[in-house]
Amino acid sequence: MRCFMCNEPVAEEDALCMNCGTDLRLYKRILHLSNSYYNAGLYKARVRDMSGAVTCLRQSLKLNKKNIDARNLLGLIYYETGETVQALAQWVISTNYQPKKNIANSYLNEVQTNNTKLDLVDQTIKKFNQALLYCQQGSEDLAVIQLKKVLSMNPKLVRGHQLLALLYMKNEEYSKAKKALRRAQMIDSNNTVTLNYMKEIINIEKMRPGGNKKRADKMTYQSGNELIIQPTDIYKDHSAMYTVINIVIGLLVGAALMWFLVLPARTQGIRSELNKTTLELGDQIAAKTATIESLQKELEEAKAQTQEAEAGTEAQRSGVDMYDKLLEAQDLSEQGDYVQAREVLSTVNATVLSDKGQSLYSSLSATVNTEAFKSLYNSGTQAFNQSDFDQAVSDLKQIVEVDEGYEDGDALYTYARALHKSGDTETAAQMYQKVIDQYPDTKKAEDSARYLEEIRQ
Amino acid sequence: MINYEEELKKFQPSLEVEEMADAIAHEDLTDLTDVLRDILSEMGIVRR
Repeated sequence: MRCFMCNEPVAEEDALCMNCGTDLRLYKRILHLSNSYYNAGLYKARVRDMSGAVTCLRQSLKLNKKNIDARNLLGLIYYETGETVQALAQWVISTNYQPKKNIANSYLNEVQTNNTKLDLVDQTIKKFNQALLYCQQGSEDLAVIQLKKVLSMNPKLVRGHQLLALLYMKNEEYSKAKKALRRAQMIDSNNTVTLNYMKEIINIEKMRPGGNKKRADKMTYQSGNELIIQPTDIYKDHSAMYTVINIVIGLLVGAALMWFLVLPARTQGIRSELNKTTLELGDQIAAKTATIESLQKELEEAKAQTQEAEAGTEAQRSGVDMYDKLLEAQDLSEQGDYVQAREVLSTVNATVLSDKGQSLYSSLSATVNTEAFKSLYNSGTQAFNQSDFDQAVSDLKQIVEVDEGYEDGDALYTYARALHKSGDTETAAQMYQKVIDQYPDTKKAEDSARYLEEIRQ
Repeated sequence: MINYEEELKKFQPSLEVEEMADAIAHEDLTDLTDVLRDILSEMGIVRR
């Protein structure tokens, strides 16, 4: 301890300074009182009553400005409540009074050597001051935004929380204001401003109608930087009916989704498959048709070949038949039945015969015809004379059809006479006319003319 | 009832880092001991 007048060391128990004789009793009492205030400040700081601690420590320093412990603690409290510059000021003053063995030196080193920290502190202060300016200018919204930024950078700034709460209270956002004040209380539990604002909010909420009910209706809590407001006790009366209704609604929604989203796609898929199948089937049908046409063509060709073969076979068969007939005719001729042989020869198709066959046919025909005509003429004439006019017509017709000039027209004349006699006057007239034309100036022509006249009459 | 304007007036701007030196310089560091010393000086108590 030193004398406060002459600054000479004095013993603790001395009442007077041995050097200057100053009465030290009052001075000692001042020092003791300063220490008492320091102790009170320390106790308050331990229970987070920062405002109370500041008051006590300031009082302690007013009594004894050289109370280093009180000044250092005051600096700490300022630092804890976000007032960094004031904290630095106290520590600087502290180190000025006691440069050595002073913990304030370490505090200053920790803050001042970290440039980032100092910049952050500086920015925080500037933003806070800017927010305060916004409030004074009436721009509360900007002030709120700015304060939120400040508090995110320096969450321990009590005045920042208080100012934010004041702004919320002005806008009647009392829940937010309460939240801000609670944060301030966590830092400085007995701050008068904080307590005053909180009391105001509580009074307002009490006076609001249905406020209690509103509090009961919702539950609010902080999750990080976000405020979560959760309704409570709303779904008290869940019943099976609501469950069933919800299920039905879900089914309807599902059905609608199916109808509008799933089915069209599926239908489209089915249609595309159908089209694809149709195309494939069309191709197959075309291929089959082409095959059928080619097969039909082959069939027709085969039929034609078959017909040709059959014709060939038939030709061969008819050729064989013709030869049979030819031989039969020849036999008949050798037997003297020339008329029958002639009939057989008339059925022979000489074209199917070979050259030799045709030659035989020609010679045989000549012989048979000659003899047959003879026989037919004789039988026809005899039948005419015997008034068998039908037989006469039949026999003589075979001659006249081949040779009208046979026997110099006598066969023709007799044929005409047989026709006349048998009643076929029309054909008879034609024959008579032929006789007249072919054999004029003959007796048979004159007779034919006469008979013809008779017919026409 | 809290008056917003009145309460707002109570909020003073914070000291910035650049203002720290001025703040220290203008800090009233007079304590009771200084007052006592001044009183005793005025009373003419001379150092022995």
